Amino acid sequence: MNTFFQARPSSSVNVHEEIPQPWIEKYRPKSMESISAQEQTVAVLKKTIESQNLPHMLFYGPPGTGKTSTILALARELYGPKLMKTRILELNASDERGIQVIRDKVKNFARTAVSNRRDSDYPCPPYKIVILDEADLMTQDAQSALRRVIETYSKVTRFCLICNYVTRIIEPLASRCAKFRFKPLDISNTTSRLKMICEQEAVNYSPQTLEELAKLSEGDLRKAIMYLQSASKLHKKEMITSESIREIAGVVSDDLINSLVESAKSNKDETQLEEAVTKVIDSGFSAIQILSQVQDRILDDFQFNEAQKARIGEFIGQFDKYLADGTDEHLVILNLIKVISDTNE
Amino acid sequence: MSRMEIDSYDNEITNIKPKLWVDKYRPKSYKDLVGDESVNRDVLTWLVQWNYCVFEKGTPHKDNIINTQFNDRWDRPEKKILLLTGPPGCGKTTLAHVVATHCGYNIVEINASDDRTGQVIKNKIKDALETRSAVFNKKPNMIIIDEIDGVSSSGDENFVKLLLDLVDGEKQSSRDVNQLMPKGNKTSKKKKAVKKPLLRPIICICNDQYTAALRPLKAYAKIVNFKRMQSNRLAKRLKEICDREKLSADITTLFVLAESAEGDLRNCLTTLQFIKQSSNKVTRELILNTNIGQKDANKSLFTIWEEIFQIRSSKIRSHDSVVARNSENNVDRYISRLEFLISTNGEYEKLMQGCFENYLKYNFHDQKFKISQINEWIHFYDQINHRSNSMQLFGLFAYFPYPIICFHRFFSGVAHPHLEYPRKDYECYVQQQANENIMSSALNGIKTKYRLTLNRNIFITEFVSYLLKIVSPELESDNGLSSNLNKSILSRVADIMLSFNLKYIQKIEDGKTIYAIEPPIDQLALFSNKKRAFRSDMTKRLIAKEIDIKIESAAGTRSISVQNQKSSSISQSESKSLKGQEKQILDFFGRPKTNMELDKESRQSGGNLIKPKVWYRYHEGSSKAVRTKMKLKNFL
Amino acid sequence: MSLWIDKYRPTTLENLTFNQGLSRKLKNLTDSDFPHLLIFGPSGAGKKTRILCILKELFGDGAEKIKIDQRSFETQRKKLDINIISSKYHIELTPSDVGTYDKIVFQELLTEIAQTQQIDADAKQRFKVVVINEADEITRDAQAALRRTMEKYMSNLRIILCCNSTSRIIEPIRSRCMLIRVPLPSIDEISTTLQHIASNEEIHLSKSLADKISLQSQRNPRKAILTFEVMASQKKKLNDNVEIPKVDWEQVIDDIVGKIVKTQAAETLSTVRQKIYELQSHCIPPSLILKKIALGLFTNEDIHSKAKFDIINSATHYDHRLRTGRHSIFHIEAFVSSAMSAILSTKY
Repeated sequence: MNTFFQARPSSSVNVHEEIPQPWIEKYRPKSMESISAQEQTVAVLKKTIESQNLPHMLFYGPPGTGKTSTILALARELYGPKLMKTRILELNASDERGIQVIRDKVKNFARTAVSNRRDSDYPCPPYKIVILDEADLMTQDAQSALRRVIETYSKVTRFCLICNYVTRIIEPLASRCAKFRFKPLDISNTTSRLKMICEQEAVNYSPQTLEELAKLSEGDLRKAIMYLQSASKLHKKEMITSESIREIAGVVSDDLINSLVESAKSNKDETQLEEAVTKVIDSGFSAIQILSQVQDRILDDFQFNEAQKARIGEFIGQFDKYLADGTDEHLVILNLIKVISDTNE
Repeated sequence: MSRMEIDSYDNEITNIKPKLWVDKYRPKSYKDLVGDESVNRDVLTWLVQWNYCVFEKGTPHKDNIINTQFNDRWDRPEKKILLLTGPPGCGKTTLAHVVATHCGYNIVEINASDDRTGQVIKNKIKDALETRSAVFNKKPNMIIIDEIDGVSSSGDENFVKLLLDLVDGEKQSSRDVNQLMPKGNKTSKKKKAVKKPLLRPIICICNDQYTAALRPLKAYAKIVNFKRMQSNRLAKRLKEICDREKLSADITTLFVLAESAEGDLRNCLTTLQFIKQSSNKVTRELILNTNIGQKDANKSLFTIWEEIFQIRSSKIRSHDSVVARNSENNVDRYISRLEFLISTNGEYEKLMQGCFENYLKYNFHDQKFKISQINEWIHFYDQINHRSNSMQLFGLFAYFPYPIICFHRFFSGVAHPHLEYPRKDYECYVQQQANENIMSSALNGIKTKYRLTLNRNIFITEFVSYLLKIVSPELESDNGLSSNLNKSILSRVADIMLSFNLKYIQKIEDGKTIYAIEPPIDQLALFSNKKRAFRSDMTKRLIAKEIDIKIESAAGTRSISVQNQKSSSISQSESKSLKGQEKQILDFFGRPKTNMELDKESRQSGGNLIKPKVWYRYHEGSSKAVRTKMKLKNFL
Repeated sequence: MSLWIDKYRPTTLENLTFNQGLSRKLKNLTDSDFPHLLIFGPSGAGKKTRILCILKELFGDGAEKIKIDQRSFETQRKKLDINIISSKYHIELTPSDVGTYDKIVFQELLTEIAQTQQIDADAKQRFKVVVINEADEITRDAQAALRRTMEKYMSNLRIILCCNSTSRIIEPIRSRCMLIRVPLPSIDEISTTLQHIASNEEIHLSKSLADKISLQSQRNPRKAILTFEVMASQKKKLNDNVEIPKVDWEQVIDDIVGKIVKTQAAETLSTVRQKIYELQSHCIPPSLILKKIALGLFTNEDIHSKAKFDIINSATHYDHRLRTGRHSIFHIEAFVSSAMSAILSTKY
């Protein structure tokens, strides 16, 4: 039993070269030019840099589309890497961001005047930037408190709010900012980015795998890079396969989903339905994943007419709520399959 | 319940200043009392039983069945506290006072208006029982505790407990209780040094005997239950008073009054006196306007459950229709009525539980439909309960009565309901807690190595049942105890039990000695469908023995090695005795042996370790088949 | 000597019999920079066994020297006790034991561990590992707190989350961990293992009986091995017709299902209620009771297919209510009564 440990030389000292950095940090775009797929936004921002008059900004869009990267790159172009630290205050959701923090920390930072020190290579406009990441998770109170702060200190401080859902930012705050929408990356953008990383890290890949990865990431570049890094760890120098990408993403294989839906369509006997469901549940996939994949599968299925799809869709919506509240996954999936089988009759 | 002996007040009426009618017509002597004669007599009999103890007069009731059974030194009644219960205004306090006066006691009353924390009450009762208003009368004190259900079970816990301490005087040694003894009592002087008992009667009065705080008291108290006075008798009584007070009223109007006051005489009198202020004639309208039907009575839980499951009689209904004349239809009437009752009581959780545990007992038609409907309402109740509790949405409290009212809508009947106090849910909770504790102790006993892959959930659902079966193996046959196969099974089971820290211990149950597993995981694994012992006691005893041997041999291994190290320094005599042992020890470690030998010698080495001077051999069992060797320590 | 389940438990990644592809990948992981892990799969699939193997692979035998401590935490309202299993290199905790106070545990304990460096100079890794059991029971607040810790102390702390399903793990945590799915082994794999044990213990076990045991344990190897050991301890000869013992509480469930199928009346509801109370008092989780009854009814052959649609529908419906409510008996009983009315409506 211990053969393995004897085989391994006990004297081997683990050499920790540099602290391994997650790829998402390592390959974060350093300049505005290298930001993928947000041409319009970047172009507008470039113009504002030239005019040196930066408005308050509100970046919104789905996760992994480059919002944080953009504002960081923008700051670097404005101040240069040296001055950046003193001119930027970055707060994200994990930091305490109640009303008290807004009152103390943010206000104090916003209030102080800008030093005259400048870096000759960079424009260095006479204001600082406060970045509030994940602003939609701030409380209403904190947002209201911010409202006045923004106006009072607009001479020396510009704010940049970043969020996923613009609707969760209170209207008075949103109306004080210039809004920039970040759209999800399309597959070609993602693949080219991933390809670049693969070549730099010497990952053994195939184009199909990258395309699969891009598809699975649903326009979220951060997710795609995370998956890629995980896969490369699992496989070391071997070729990364589509299956392992799917596995890392927790995606159920199409075969399994197909067999589940097919058995729902053909079987009338509940015991067999139960067996089919147990098989999927036993393989450990999360029910939410199964639910959404079955939904995709049903929508593409020409054997169901519109009314039938609508009926199933209604149930799926309900099941999603059930699952979010912690209802037993086995029961929900079994119910889903029974609904499909019932609709098919 | 109390008769108003009007004649005796005739001459007073004219010359005394205005007085509350309630006090004015309060009965003054036992003769004046009327109502349920048996209740009155019960109370009086109980008090008379104290006579010998308190007044040292009369004959000792040695022939009395209660006392001979109980064999009390002071010849007191068996139950030393009297608990009077019943709805408000039916004369409990009056009866207690009257009877006490009748028997010649000086009454000390403690009621809700007094501070009832433990220390205060202690002093008060102490004072009452020690001192005696010697100047005025020679009467001994007696305590009446009114509205005892008002003590909450938490803050005033001391109160009921203190009362019980008093009752348990013989066993109580606390100083305070010692002083409770009245001084002029000869009986007590004889026993001065001994802990002193309660020698004065205590009467407690309450509306709801099911209050949680009173539960411990009930075991010590004689309970006398008052029933509501019938409306027609009450009306007659009221008529007499009205005549006396020169208030004109006809009997039917007074009947309505009595009905709506629900037999509460005090309430009727107050209302009448109130009416007298403004008019000399009692009319139906006047009565209804005073809103006495809506009196703020804290009805007992049972009353409310009865209201829910029983359709009220038509007489009351006709009255109600006048009361609630603003509301047009029947539905509104019972809703507003029950809503009022339930929300004044306020114990929604208990009320709901009572309905839930009782409703299935009723015969009703169209059952499925109703049950699923009531289930929706129960769900509604659960939701508001959950939200108001976990999210502090107390505004939802207003909705609590409605799901409960729905039980009336679906399941009420004309027949008198046989209600039971809801305790299943609580019992289940208690049992669950007990089992959780068993599980914790079982889990904590498991060796760390084996515990890693277990959590509570897995333990209870996938593990414990199997474990119990594995440690209760089936042996070859009862005769072949010495067979090698059985030996290896036993040794294996013992090993497993040791690693899970399980033991079979002897217990005496129903006079028989049985072996029970400890911690009692059988309680977790087995259900009522087969609660009986899993294996014969024989098998369990063998396993228990095997475990003992293993523990001893493990301990033996350790201490022997210690002894061997020290052997150079031990005295001559000891080393002699050791020599004999060392041979055995060598045996024990030296060569592989059969199980029988191992058994015997590990036992001996265990015995030798403590170097006993005396050997005592005890054979348990009379037949050779079941004879086993027992160790002295098994009996200690 | 111990139970077979422990005796035959693999302790190294090489010896793991089920999911060998996965074990190989885990081996690759331990060689390179080790990420945070999120290990999920059904109960009995071997998540815990794998975690122990990973720890051993990472730190060597030192990871097996474990002890159990009790730590207490003070909050404003009450004192919390939590059991912590720890070795020199890792600690293991089950935050759901303290219910909604789990956030405090994370804040205090994890920060404390994260800030202390690995003292042992001989340690194979620079980081310590925190194993978190029942991660899907952790409140959202605590998960959010965890998210920050995972980023901040990446240099000397790795977290292994262990749970049955990822559905209730928030997205930011999922995206910071590597997801490792552990499926239940197949029937064949379990039977092979059973036969391996049988031959080691010198008991005759036919292939068909091994299959039967595996099947009845619903592909759960823990149950299968325990069942086999019970059978071996109760009967001398194991032939193919031997009855396979069931867990007692599942027999009670079968009993309940039988009663519901037989008569649908208020009296049945009363007796069923008794039994549910008994199950509850034996610490069986209420949602499990409901699920088992529902599955029992769903696969029962005497119930019409039409009724089954309603039954499974109300099962999810009432399970949802049960999770969002307080009094579980209300909802289980409501499910039973609605199942009864479904059966009744198809009878005539």
